[in-house]
Amino acid sequence: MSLDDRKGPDAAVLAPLPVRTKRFEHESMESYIFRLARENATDRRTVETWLIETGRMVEHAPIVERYRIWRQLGGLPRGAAEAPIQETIVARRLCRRCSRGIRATGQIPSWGLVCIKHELWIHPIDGIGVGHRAMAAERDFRHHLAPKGMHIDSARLRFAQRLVALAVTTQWIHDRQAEDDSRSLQAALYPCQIRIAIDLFALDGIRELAEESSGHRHSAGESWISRRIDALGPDEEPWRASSLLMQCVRDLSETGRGSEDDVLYRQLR
Amino acid sequence: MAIPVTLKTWRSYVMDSPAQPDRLNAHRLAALSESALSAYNEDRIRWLSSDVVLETPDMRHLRRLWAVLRAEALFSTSIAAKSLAISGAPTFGKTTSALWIARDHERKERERRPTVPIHDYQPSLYVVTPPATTPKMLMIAFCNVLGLPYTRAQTAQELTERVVMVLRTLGTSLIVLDEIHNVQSNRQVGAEAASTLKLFAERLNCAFVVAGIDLDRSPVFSGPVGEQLAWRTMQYEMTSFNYGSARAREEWLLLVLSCQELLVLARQDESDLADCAAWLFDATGGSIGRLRALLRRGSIDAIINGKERIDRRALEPFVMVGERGSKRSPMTPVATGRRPAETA
Repeated sequence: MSLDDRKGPDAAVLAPLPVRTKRFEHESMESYIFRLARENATDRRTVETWLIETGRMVEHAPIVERYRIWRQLGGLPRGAAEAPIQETIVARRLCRRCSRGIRATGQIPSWGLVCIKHELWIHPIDGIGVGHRAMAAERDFRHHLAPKGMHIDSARLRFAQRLVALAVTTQWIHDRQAEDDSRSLQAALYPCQIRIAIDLFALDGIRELAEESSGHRHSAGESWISRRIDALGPDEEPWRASSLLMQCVRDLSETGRGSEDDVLYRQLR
Repeated sequence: MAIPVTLKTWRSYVMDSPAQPDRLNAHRLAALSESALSAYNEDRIRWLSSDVVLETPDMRHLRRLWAVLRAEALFSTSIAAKSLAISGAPTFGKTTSALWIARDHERKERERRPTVPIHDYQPSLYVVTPPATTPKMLMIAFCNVLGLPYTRAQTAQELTERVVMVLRTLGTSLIVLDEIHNVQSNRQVGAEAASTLKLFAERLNCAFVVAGIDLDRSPVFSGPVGEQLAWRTMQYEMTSFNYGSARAREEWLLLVLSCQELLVLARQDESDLADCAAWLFDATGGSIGRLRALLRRGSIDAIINGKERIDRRALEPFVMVGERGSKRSPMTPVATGRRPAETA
């Protein structure tokens, strides 16, 4: 490959690979690099070996430098797909319709589990249509939680999911799955998970629970959870969830117990 | 003009349509300001250096052969190679013709498919065979033109597979391979190169134009595979102009006058080069390449020194030594600086 034949400060800019490959919105650089190399009938390792052999990249170059070079090879603008946003945000497959059926992954901190535009699940069951409750939950997530930096893989959302999972029975899960025509546990828990997360962490539910629960801890927790899980029948026993919730409230209310996320991760273990 | 050797420079070359500057007469030329004159001179020199294709008997034949080949390539379902071989001695216009064919095809294909983004489609690919080429080096030449990375450890077969896949993705339907005489004359290597071209032909739905010196003796067209290729190839031998008959002399004169039309010199008269057509033939050996180079250099000199006119006397310092057919040794000066009437 020859260098771009422009002169001046950008003389060393690499010419893009011959088969141009579009980067999807939210697609991670790792996913894009894989696709770009594949479209050009090669692989990442061969390209990086070539870069090293021809002196265009040093061996063990830092990830920022590698991404810079790959952006040039893809003809991408300089700021496209900067380094991973947060390590705790899982890179997931992008919505099938958004990526036109092409397998691409990316980190999207502002999204939950649903592509609102195409009304499809993106995780854990991608490509399946969502019901109205999941759509509402996704909108609530994007409106209340994502702007506050709470992404779907954060400790708070995982804690909320754990609470729902502990409070419901297998029948309850089956009933939700039947309604949404899905077989995923995570999908069944999603609407209630979001509701609990919003009330607990976005609307200062921790403080309210701490005040209500003095002297009546378990009942306060149980009633709080029961009000937030749909169709919680007489067979449901939310006491396990309540116990976890009140333990968390107590830990968060006490001083010297570390950050909120640390407390929640300890509860999740 | 530098041969375009990357996709980017190739696409610029295809899209570029140099416009002939207006020919100003001496009076208007003198009226230009210094900066305007400088800019005008630059435009003219740029124009003189551009690769304008003239209508010659060779080009008329090649246009006809190319039209047939292109129609075959576009509409035939046969997997047999559709190819044209342009052979001839150096400076006879093989590269100019090959470039013209590639550019013509790309322009027409892009016009046929105007909505396809420029980077997603590459109808023509022009590749120059490096000297002493082996099949692996030939594939590396393709990779370099396409901008495909490759490592030292990759074999010719691996590179071929990758190039084929990328050309398919880009929709390439014409491959022009110039200087193909550079393939090593070793029989084994020649056979492998022929196999590579045959593989391309079978895997890609595209036409081939190969150009080089003495292709009838090239190792690419010898051996079992090479002979298969040769049978499926239209062959055209470019020759120099000759001066032996009235018709030949008329054709040469037409060529000279066509070249003169391109010169854009303020004081050039129509008869200036017509009067020395015979000398021009002698000085260039009937080669269109040498003729154009001679006139280009003389014109640039006339622009720089302000004389704005070329004739035999102005051109003599630029006659190249060692021209084909000359009995002089390469180091014997052709021009003495004296007028013909003074040499006695």
